[in-house]
Amino acid sequence: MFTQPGVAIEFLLSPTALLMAAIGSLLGIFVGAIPGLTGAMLIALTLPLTFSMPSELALVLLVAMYVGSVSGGLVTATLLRIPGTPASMMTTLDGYPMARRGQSGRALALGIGGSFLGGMISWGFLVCLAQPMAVWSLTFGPFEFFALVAVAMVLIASVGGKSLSLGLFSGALGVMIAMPGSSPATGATRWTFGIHELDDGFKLLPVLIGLFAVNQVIRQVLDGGDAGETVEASDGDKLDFRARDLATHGVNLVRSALIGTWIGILPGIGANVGSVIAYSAARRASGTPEQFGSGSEEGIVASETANNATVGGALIPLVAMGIPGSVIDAILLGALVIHGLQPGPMLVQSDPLAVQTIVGTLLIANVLTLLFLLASVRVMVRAARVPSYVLVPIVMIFCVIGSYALANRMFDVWVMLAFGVVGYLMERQSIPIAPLVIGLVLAPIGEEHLTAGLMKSGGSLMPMFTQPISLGLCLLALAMVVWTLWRRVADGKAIRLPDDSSE
Amino acid sequence: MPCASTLKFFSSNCTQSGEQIFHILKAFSRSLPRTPRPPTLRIVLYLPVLSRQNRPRHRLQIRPLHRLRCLIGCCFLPVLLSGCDHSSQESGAYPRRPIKLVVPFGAGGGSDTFARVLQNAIETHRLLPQRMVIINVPGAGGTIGSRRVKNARPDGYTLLLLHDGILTARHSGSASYGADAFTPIAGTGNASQVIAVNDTSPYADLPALMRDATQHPDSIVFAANMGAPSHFAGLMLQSKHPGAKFRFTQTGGGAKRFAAMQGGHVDVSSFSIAEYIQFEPSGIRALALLGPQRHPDLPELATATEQGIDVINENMQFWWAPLGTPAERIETIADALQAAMQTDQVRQTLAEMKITPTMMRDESLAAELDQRDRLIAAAAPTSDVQLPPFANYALAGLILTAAAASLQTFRRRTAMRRDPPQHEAVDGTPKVRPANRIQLAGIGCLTIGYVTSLQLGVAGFVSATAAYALLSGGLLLWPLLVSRQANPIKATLTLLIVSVMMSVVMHHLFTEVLVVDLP
Repeated sequence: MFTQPGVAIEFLLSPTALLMAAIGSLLGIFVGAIPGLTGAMLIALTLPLTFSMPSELALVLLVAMYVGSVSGGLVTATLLRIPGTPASMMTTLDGYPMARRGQSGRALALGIGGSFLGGMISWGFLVCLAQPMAVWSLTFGPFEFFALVAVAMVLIASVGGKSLSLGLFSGALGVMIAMPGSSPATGATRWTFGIHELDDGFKLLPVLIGLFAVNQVIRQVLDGGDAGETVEASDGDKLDFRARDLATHGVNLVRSALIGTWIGILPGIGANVGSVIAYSAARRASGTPEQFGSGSEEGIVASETANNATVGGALIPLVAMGIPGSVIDAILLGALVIHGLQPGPMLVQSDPLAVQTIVGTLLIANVLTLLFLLASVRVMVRAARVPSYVLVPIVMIFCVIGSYALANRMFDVWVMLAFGVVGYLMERQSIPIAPLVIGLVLAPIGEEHLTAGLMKSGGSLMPMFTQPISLGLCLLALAMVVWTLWRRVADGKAIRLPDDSSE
Repeated sequence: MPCASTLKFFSSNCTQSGEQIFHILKAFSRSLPRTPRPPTLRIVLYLPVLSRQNRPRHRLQIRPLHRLRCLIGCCFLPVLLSGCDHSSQESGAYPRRPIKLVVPFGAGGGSDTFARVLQNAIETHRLLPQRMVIINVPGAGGTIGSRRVKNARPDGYTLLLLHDGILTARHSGSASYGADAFTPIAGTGNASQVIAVNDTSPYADLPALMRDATQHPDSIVFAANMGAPSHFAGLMLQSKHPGAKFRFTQTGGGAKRFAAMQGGHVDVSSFSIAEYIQFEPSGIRALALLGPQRHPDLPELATATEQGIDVINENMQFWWAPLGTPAERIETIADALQAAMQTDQVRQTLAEMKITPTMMRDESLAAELDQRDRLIAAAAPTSDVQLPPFANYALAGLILTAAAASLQTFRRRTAMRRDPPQHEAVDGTPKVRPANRIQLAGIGCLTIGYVTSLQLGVAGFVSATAAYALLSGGLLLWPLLVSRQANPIKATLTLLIVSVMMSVVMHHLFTEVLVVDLP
């Protein structure tokens, strides 16, 4: 696969290629940090600009954008409680509470470090295991996918905060929100009440922006904002890497990177799910699970490591088989075709330079993104300290533009505003938001695969329990349900007081 | 009042723009020699608009303000200059302003790429006096975007690019209207479908597959994207071979169908030629080409008609205008498209994308559409498997969990009343001052007003956004000014800069760089 890497290395270290990688990572970070603008959008819109470039240079630019956009989201997630991309949704849960406690530097250091190492670990997998892993993932049929989604659904119960019933309610609400619009399997519309704008349902991004960003604006205005003037930088803003970090978070890091890489390989399940699953797994394994959601270092590491690890993971089937593992990879695939390259297993033989460029750029872009984030973090921390009369208009206008830009329609803007109010009301009633989002993300994926399985089997559910992989996953889901219930019953005999102030 | 008119001129020009980076650079360089007034004058005229209109009290601060103005002015120089590029093209026949092309699929997909290839050619060869702006309106299999164009004003400034999906959507029931709800402009680019199986499959050719589908109906799994061309390819095969029946399974786009085939989860599927050529070396084998004649890239592959099964399934990119668009405007666009299709640039790119550079218009287009519509109607799908009503399950689950949650909350509240907690502060809701509630209500009203005005197009994006930023920021700043917690000059300046940044710079960034069509 990597014969004669000399040419590729020489090309990648040329000033033009490095410049492209730098532009790509910077733009990616920038777009990733703005809620509503996604990496997919940036890459799709940059694609036509690369028509006139040599294909390798175009790949450098696009892959660097991909890496940057997944990393950029952590900054706004941590400092403003606004996930810049859906993938950094879980980072808000712990990053923002830490930032509120004056530990923003520590939270960002963990996030940036996790992102970098997650990206590097998945890069290692891309180099070593591209071929065998891509082939194995093909054995996943519709029922296997559905079982995988079921496992992830069960995790709702574990991220649901302290009240199981409220968490489940929130999750069910998320599933319900995913229902109106086109059926993900047949395309038939349902529950649109004759409103044609609803034919495509509620899109994830406006709902997310509303639940997190608008909700946050409402709270900030009601709390009376901050003192008003810019707060001087304090010690808590300095990036705080500690010598023992690798020892304390090493296991978590590797686990999250493995989960992220694996989720990335599976087609159609992107960085969002990767970080959710890694976060839940970290919480289960943690010695202090009660800290999750109120500023746990482990939570940030898990979420950010996993979402960056999906990048390398998702490139594995692209490089090895020509199958995109995510939306962005599908666009990259389109880029290959436009530039006259033939994606697929033959790509390695027919155009090894392209493959080596993709792989090499992933490494370079990871390093560059790390450097850019490290360099700009002080500026960004200070930017996040701006008084509310400046911050509120900026955030709200970004929310409006971001939701509108998704599909060029105002309907999404109204959806965003409505879900802002919904999110605020939910949190006032101490109903956690994370399960709702997980339900909303997973329901369409699960439904699509379940329907496909049922269509294939002629309406029978039996293949789910006769195939070894799906049976194993079903048993895992069941075990997790039983374990969660058992733990609740075991240590929750007395009714707990609502001490979760749902910060 | 010259200042106000400058602002109006500026914002009205800005709303028309929307292009990619190289176009801005081009426009920038083009506009330099024929800028109507020296740039400095423009800055002086433009910047005081905001300051004088909104902050009349701080005239005394003219010195630092002036320095700042120059600074900001320098930053905005490219914005202003590119903004005045379009001023010279106000007179003349159609098109007088940029044409919006709605692509009802996401950016980066096949249709979007096709649109951008042609847009690029029209742009570089100056086939239209105005630009063509691509607006992606994805969703619901293309019907969100097609409905928008159907309801648009028939003035030739809103067009639609939608392939055979416009025909299949009606016959599969996902849209209530079909091709007759639009005026067709042209059909460009044609790609045939290929029926393919796994390398290890026992079927040697298409008749063998169809024989088996007749002998063992509803057992051969056909991977399809329901309602899309891949689905209709299978349906057409079925309808031409009485008794044959596939088991259609929703699998998704070409890459997903290929993966499912590689994993042995499905038996047969249909791919576009480009997809097939891409996947072929990884282990799939074509049985037939569903085209009128053999394809130059696959000379050995026999067509279905040659094999005795008369099925042709192609995907053509059709250009549509709303019903009632004047005929001469349709002609203008069709001429431009025809010229674009003949450029080397387009031919070369389409050859790489394995798309035949067909060009149809007028009668031949109408006949083609009519024939395709009849073929698709004849193969209209029947729902085979009764799917569980997932939406009802979801509703049931919601009601159940809501009941459980309210029960538990009720029990918890009762317990709390019996045994009140020690610390008041742990209660989730912080004390809210009434003044903050008023602020929130004000911002809520402003936001609703802002979004409504954007939706109705009452004010342009730039002015509405600037006003919104100033008013909402001012609402939050007011109490701080009253209580002397904030430095009035510094705070007001910050607010001004923010509103200018958010309105003008964001508008520029989105329309020019990211090519998003802001309201």
